[in-house]
Amino acid sequence: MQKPEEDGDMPQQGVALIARPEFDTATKYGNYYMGVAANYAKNKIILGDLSGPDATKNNINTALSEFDPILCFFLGHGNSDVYTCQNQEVYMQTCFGNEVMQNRNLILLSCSCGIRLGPDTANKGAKAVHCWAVDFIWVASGDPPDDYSKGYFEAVNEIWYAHVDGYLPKEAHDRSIAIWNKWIDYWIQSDDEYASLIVQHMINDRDGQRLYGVGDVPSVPVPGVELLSRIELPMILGETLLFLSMIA
Amino acid sequence: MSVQQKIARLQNFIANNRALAGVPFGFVRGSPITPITALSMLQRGENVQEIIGELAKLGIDPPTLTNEDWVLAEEYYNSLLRVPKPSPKVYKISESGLTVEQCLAHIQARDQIGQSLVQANKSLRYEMAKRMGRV
Repeated sequence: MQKPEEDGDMPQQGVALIARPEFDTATKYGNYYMGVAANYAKNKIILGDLSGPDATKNNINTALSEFDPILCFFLGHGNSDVYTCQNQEVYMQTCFGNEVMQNRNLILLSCSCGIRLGPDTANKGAKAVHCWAVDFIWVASGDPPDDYSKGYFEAVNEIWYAHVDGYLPKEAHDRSIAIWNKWIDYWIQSDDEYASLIVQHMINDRDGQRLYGVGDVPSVPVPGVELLSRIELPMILGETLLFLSMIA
Repeated sequence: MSVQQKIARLQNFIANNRALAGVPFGFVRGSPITPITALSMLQRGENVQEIIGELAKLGIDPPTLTNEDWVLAEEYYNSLLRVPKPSPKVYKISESGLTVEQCLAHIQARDQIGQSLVQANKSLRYEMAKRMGRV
C-alpha cells in the first residue's frame, strides 16, 4: 500500500478528508449528519474520516500532509476569524494557519466563518470555500436524525454530495440552495406549530451560505471512477486516523 | 389595488403559506398583527389604512435591526410559548440548544444570541414579503 501519486502542487483529486468533532450537543448533530455524508462517499472516493476525539489539529494536519486531499469538510465551533476542531482547539484563523487549504476545496460548517476567515482562505489560494456568513442555526426535537433538523443538514451535505459526484463548486452551491428551497417550501406549507420557527432559520442559513474562490477544479475527476482505479489503498495512520478506501 | 383585492391576496397567501399565517409582521395601534389578524381586520373594515401601511412596509425595512424588529421577534417567541406541543430546541454550532423560553430571554436581553434570532426572524418577514409578491 502507498500514498496517492504526487501531482505537482495540486492536492489529490478523488481524495477527501472529513473532520467532525463531537463534544457537546451542537456538535453531536453535525457529527451525526456528517457521518451520513461519509457513508455516501466511502464507495466513491478515498476518504479520511476524523470523528469525535480524532478530529484534532494534529490529526488534521497529518492527514493533509500525508494524503493531500483536495476536498475537506470540517465541522466545529467558530466565528468570523476562527475555526476550531475537537474541544474547541483552534485550527486556523484569518491570516494564520489557513494557507494549508491552498488549492483545496473546503466546506467549513462553522458559525460566521464566511465573514472573514472564508474569503481570506480563498485569498490564500483555496480553490473553493463553502461557508456561512451567519450563525448557522437549526431547530431540533430529540436526538438526530429528527424531523426538524434533517432538512438543514441535508442541504449542507448536498454540497459534499455534489463534490463527491464530480460537480464544480458553484454547481455544488447551487444544488445545495435548491435543497434549502425544497425544505423551506415543505415546511412553509406545513401545519406543524413550529414550522415557522424551522423556516426562519432555514432561510437564515440559506441566505448566509457563501462560496468563495475561483472554483475551477472538481474534487473528483469526471468520470469519478477513473482516478480511483489508479490509486492504491492509503496507509492507516496509527489508531487515530482511519482512511476508508474503496475502489468503485 | 382595492381593499377587496388585498383581502383576496391575503387569503391566497395564508392558504399557500400556512406556516407564516401566524407570524407577526407589523403593528396596528401598538398591537402586533399577523396575516390572519390583518385579514380579519380588513374583512371587518377595521384599521384598514394602518394595515395597508404595514403590508406595504413588509420587506422594505432597512438592513440594520430596528427596535420594531426586536419587538416583533419578542412577540413571535411569545406566541410560540402558547403552543401546547412540547417545544423543540434551537441550536447553533457555537451554542447548546435553546428552548423557546431561552430564545425569548436572549431577545429580551438584546444580546448577541438574541441578535442572531431577531435577524433570522426578520428574514422570515422578507420571505413573507417575497411570497406576497412585494419584493
